[in-house]
Amino acid sequence: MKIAIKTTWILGISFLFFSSCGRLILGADPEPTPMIVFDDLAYNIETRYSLFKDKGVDWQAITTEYREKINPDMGDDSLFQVLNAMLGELKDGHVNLSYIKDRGRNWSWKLDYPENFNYSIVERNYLGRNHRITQSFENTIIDSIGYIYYGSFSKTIKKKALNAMMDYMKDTKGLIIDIRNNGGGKLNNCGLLASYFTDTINDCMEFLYKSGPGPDDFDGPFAYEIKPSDTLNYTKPVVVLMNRSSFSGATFFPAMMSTFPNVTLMGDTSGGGGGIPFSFELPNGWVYRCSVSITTDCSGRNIEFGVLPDIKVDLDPKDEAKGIDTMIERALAELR
Amino acid sequence: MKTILSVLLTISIVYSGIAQQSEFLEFSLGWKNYQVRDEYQSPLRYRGSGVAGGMGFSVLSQDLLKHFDADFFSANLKNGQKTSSPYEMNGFQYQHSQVYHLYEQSGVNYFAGIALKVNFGFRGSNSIGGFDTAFSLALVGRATYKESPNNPWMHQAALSIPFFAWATRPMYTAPAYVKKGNRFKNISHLFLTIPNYFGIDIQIGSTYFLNNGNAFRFDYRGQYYQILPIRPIRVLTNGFKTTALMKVN
Repeated sequence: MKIAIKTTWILGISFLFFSSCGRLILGADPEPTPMIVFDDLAYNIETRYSLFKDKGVDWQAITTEYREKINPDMGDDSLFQVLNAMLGELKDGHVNLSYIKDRGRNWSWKLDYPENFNYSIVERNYLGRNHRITQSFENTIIDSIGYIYYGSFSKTIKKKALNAMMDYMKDTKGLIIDIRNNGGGKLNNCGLLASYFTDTINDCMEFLYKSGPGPDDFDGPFAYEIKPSDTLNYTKPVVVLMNRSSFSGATFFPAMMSTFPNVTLMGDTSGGGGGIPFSFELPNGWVYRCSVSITTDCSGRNIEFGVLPDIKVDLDPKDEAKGIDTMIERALAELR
Repeated sequence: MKTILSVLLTISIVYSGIAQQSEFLEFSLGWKNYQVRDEYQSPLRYRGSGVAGGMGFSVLSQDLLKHFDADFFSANLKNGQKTSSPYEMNGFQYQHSQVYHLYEQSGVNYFAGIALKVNFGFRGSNSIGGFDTAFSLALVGRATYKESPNNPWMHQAALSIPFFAWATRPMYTAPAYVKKGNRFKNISHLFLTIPNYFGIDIQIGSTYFLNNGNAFRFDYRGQYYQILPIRPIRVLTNGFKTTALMKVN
């Protein structure tokens, strides 16, 4: 009995000891003062962000300028504004700072350019009332030419659904893939969709990954390879429509498609977002993300700044007023 | 996960066939507190508690104690900040320890041996996430005490310290997207020794043997481990467990 009591004591003391010494063993959290939060963000962006050289950004000068705006008494809202403005200097859609009230961003990559898209016109005058919605793909056939509107790469594509859609499209004369206002999503979706438009293996892009804190610490390059789909290879003419809001995955996708001889890129330069983002946390619990890689297309061009169209077309406001999508009309004319 | 479980159970069954001593099949349920600091992703310490369950197999004899067990653990973790969002934690541990009798003193039997440990920890939320895996070999010291042969209680304590590990951590940058074909390019595989991989595992408990040969064990277990290269991580766990031991041989 005595030993049982002793054991119980030992168990209890051990538990209390281990529970209470988490801070001692794992270290105390940093005090989330405005300056400590600022310094954490400034240092981690300096060591993790991958595109300083490509963008010609002097991060030291930026942090020196913004550090002067930090004071110990500032509230969360003021601190957020300063940090968000500092991150905005990177002009990168994959750089965001989030807290409970807001998600900071710099969207100049799309807001400084024409919108070149009117979904209402697309839905009412091109897709029509009876178009198919195959997972995230809204699709129809217009005068023997397939038209697919794909608004987001976020949802994982089911291969069966994609097979069904491509089977529906297989006898068309040509195909329009409209990725305007597509804000991106999963890179695997881009590769999977692209694999239906080639019958050869392609190294379409190269990645460099930030692998350490130094400015030149990168791993790679790693080639991104697209293998032809084992179900159907659509090698007839394809037009990819894009605008400045075709961002991230919707920039990777045209970069992949541009390597195929049957594909024409049309519209505006895509919005960019070629640096793959990764999220981190600040000492006050706010989450930020930043680009941690560099992606180049098959011509060696950094796609952070967007993929150039083969044929530049803008939406004509006069056409738009009449319910005509200038870009779709141009694509249809190209494929007829 | 199913494959891993099948392999572990197969190993357990094979060993159970070899042994000729008292053998027990074990089912456990407990509560565990988990604390982690994954420095690359966050400067904050995350902590939380949850239910842990598992199964195992043990062989008891005068000269040899063998023990296999697999544990699962799940909990929501939070940091200490006011806007902390839940961080889901799922963990799996397997250990196979084999200790040999060294000597007896004042009724206490001392054992020493070796343990193979497997540890998987997966943590994630909507915005951030991470994982660590480690296969380690550890030195184990164990002591058992029974007041008298007829006393139903046996008390035991064990301490193990790993001396070699193979661990996997995501490399410096994004775990997503870094794929070529089906091979992840960004996972780092590390062969580690102290202090880059260091751990300590303490188990203290008592076993109550029933007249029918079955038993119940009540354990406290405290563990700490760290993997320092690439993305330093430190983990501290701490909890109680009740185990039903069914005599199978």
